[in-house]
Amino acid sequence: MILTSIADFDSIGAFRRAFGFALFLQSLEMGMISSRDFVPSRERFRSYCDRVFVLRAKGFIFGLTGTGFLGICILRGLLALSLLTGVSSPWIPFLLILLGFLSVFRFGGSFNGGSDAMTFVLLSGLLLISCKEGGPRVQTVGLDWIKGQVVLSYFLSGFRKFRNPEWRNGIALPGILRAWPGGRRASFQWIQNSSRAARITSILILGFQIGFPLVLLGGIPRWIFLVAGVGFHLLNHFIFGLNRFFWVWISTYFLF
Amino acid sequence: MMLILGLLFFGFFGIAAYRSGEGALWFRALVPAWRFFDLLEERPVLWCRFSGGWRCMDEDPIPNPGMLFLNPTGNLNLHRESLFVLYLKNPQEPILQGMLEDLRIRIGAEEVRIGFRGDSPK
Repeated sequence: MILTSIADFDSIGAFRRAFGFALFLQSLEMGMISSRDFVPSRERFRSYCDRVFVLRAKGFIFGLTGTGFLGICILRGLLALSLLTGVSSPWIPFLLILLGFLSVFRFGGSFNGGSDAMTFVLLSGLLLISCKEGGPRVQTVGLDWIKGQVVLSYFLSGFRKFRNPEWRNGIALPGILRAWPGGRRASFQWIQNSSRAARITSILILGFQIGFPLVLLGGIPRWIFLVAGVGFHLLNHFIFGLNRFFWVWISTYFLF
Repeated sequence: MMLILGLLFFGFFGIAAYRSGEGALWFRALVPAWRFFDLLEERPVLWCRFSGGWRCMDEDPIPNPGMLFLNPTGNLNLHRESLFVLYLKNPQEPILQGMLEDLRIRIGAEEVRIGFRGDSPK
């Protein structure tokens, strides 16, 4: 109600498809790693479930380990594809929320931190948006929920960084890059070598994140922040490998 | 109908979470914190002891443009790391202990420890 007008509804279809694409990629990734070594073995999972009487069912244990979990990933992928093709039934986000929660249980928490949290936010918002019986008021609440959380995700993250003097004086960024293994950090050696470059880059990041609420003003500020956001997430992917964040966050840009 | 199904589903897991005492761990994932890289912290890594001695398991995939679409190994490593962070905060958490033990068996190491790079266990 505060952030959205009903006239924005044209953008919802684009958001639904883009988010469906993001979910489809997530499901593919999860399917590819469903039998890899970070998940509990079936024996461990059974002993874990044994402590919770309601979860002892063999089918449940099978469903969350090995081949069973691959089936969940396929189902999740199919539901994501239906979003991608523009199906707007509320059952799709509803079922995706349930399947997402099974993943949380299986992984003993989230699989991919912030991107999982944002996925739940978007699914819950999409559920409200898709409930046509609720009328435009419920749909607007769903849109406001998503837009509010996206704005908060940048603003709070930037504000917390700003409170840390290491970010303000440019020490934090080279330190974070040093802490990251692999070849990515070599491409950003210039930030580590020059304290001035590190400080300027830090200020740009803080400015972008803290200033992101300006996107709600529309017009030129909106385009500046959305384009900067794409660049920001691309950079995060190339440095830290955060590809899930890229697709999930960018899908919401259609709503602004 | 959706409301009833939702209440049944989350009621079921709510009871399970309450009974297992691990509800906080499960539900933490659903609550957005929006806290990314605000503190300069060292990243925990897995140290494995094989017959030849301790080895730091911190390999990351070599980046390529295709990883923007699919990066299963990178995300697997990120997930592992978040488990390590949780483990350092709650070393007594049974599910984390269990996962670490599974990891040890699957890697084939004699012993595993969570630590920091350049901080080899003795």
